[in-house]
Amino acid sequence: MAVKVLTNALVTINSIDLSTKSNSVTLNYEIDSVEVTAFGSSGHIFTGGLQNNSVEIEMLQDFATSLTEATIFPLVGTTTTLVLRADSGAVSATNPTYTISNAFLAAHTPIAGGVGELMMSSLTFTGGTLVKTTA
Amino acid sequence: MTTYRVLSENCTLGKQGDTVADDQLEGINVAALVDGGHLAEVSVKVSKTELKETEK
Repeated sequence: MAVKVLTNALVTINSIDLSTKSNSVTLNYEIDSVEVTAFGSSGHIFTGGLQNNSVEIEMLQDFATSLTEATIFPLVGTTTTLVLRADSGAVSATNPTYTISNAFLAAHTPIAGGVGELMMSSLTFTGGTLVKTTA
Repeated sequence: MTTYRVLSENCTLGKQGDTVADDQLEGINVAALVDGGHLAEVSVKVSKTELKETEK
């Protein structure tokens, strides 16, 4: 089994390819655990509930036309679709695409950092529905 | 049906200059794309003959 070093991930936010303006991405795929324990059970029993996804992306701030600020600022407080891949190459069984629709962006930091530091914005998209495709 | 022209190079909806219809934009935050300068709404020209028909 091959391990994977992340060097060329695909990060598409609201149909805009911002791969070259991001340097970290984490997709958390989670299903709520809903307790269905009843009398007579000797331990907690759970069933799957709603998806409870989140995506964390570290963005390099860039005020140039059509890049980070132009794309992210209008999205705050709204929902959109994210498309993520471990590698920006073709979709395959070993390079699946993860599409999260209706992901909500609550916050963005247009200006952040200290003297001499790179300006970054840490984005966290929450909610939405995740679909994994391999073709 | 509203049509939009792709303005930015990094838009995955099409190449720069391509047009996309709103039915191709499901799940996409179009207002944010327009606000961010990625898309521009294409104005529809109504021909004189069409105007006459609607005026009837």
